Amino acid sequence: MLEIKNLHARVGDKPILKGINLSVGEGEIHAIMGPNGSGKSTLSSVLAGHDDYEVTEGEVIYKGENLLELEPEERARAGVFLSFQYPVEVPGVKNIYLLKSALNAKRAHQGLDEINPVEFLKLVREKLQLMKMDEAFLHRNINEGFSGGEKKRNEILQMQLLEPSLGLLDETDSGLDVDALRIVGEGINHLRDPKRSFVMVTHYQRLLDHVKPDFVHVLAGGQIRASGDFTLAQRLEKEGYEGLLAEA
Amino acid sequence: MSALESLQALAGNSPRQLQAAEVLGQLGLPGRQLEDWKYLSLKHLQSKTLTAPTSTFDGDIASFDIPGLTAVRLVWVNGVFRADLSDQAEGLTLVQDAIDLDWVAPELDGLAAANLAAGQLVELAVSDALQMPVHCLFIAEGEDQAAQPRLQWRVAANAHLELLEQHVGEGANLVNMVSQFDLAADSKVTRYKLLNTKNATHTGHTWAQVRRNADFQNHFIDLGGKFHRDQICVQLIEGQANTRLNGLYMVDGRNLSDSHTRIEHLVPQATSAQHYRGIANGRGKAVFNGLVYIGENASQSATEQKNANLLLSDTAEINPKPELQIHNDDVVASHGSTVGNLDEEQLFYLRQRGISEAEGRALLTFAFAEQIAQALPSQPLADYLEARFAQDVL
Repeated sequence: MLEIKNLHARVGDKPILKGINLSVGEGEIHAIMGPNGSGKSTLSSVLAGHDDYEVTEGEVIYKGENLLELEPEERARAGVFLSFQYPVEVPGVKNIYLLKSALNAKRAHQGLDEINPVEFLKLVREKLQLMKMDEAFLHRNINEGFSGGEKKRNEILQMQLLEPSLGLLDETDSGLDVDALRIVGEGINHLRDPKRSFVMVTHYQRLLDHVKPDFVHVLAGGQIRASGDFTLAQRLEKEGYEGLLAEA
Repeated sequence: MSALESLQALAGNSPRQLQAAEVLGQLGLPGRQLEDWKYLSLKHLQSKTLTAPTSTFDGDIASFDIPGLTAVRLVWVNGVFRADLSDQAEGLTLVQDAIDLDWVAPELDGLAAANLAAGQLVELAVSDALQMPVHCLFIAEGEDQAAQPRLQWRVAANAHLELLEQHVGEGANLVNMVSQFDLAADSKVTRYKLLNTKNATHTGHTWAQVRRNADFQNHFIDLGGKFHRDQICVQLIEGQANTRLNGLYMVDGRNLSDSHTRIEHLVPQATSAQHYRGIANGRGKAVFNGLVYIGENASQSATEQKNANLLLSDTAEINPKPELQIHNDDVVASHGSTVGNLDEEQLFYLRQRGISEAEGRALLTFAFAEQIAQALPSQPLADYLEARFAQDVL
């Protein structure tokens, strides 16, 4: 699904990623954990194609294609979905408009016609119910005045609708209370599929209690310093980043 | 005959109108020599002979209706009131040719004088029995005609006037309009001025006086045209008077839009707020000049002013000038003006959802305008504008 080889990236003159190697197979869930400033969020932004970051070395192959050559919207249509750490507010554009446009952009890419309005509404209602969101959310401006938890749920709602092949979840657990964390966790689990992969970037273990990863990686100083199975996350919880990285 | 001479020749016979024609001769038409007209020129009009307006209209009046807005409709064709095409309503008393009731001095500028000289004043008295919105439709037909509607609203205590003033038509005329509002204590006016004329030279003057605990709300929407100038002055003359002036101007091609607002706090404890937004594309040019004056006596005044502009092309031009003149220490005042481009983080968010860059930019431009539409108290009008923005931008 995704092969990251020796990826280097910088912001302005500042190198942040310094040789990332990561292989994500179909149906796998990978957790990338790391202290603040380790480059976790940079990795997901680079994969999504944010132009604040410049890739200076290395390559990323997604489904056999050079991902780095694609525009952000082409990556999205090819099935790469980023759940933002800080979903941006877009006053003046209703949520429902975004959902419909995004879905139709994907359908056009697949050679399908625009979804008919009745079918669309039925589909959206189903997903809303899953995320325990009121239908009123559809008619509110994108993320405007949403609480932190509502914004994150809205991200997962969009992911539910777009059914990506690769979900990049950037600190999706931050700013969530216990209930919201459970709902978001269920939302992600609901999408687990042998054909769908996830890369979850997180500082804490709490989301991993709900969505159990197949692999855990520790990112520090722009490189992956340790990899393992779920027990690595449990060790991290006990020993902290400093203790674990001193060993590694 | 020049535009100036022809406007003088159109003067009526009453002593006030003849006097106004004389003042017009002295002042001439406004131009760059005046600070308030720094960015504008009426050159395209100067050598033209402007003729007396014709008031025939064969089209379908109802085609200009706003879906969902049930209103008392009043119709002007080229500035001439057409009683035969207009409705009547309880709580609305209309007097035609009421020039002797006029309360505005003509000396403010040449265009205001020209309007008084030739204008056919319609006075509209609103009582608290008025239950429906009023839809004033101004149709521009023909070419080089001088359409000079003059309206004077007297809004009684406790009355509420919801007014849509809609300017339409393909006519390449001068539409030189004057509106006056007198708000009695505890009354409320919510006025929407919708400019939807492509070819007319529109020069509008609005004066409002707001008394105790009365509220004057003005929502100005300029959808883009050859030459649109809107000048508004609101005087808060008794305590607890409030005004809100919102506006949106959208210019593209070679459109020009100039908004001049002036709010005067003349007594203690009055409040005002302003939010104007503009979008300039192509070779469009926009001017926003918003002045808030707080007089010596106007303690405990509160005022805020916001002006945000979106500049979408290298050849477009926006000239914002927010201005505060404060002569009292005990006031709360804020103002801010920005000129910028689309937000890159918002654009990235949309693109990450599969929306193309071009479509994303159009959507964000739509969103910028839509925020003014969403703030309109009238839902039918907000829906109408949303559809219109979608059609123009998306």
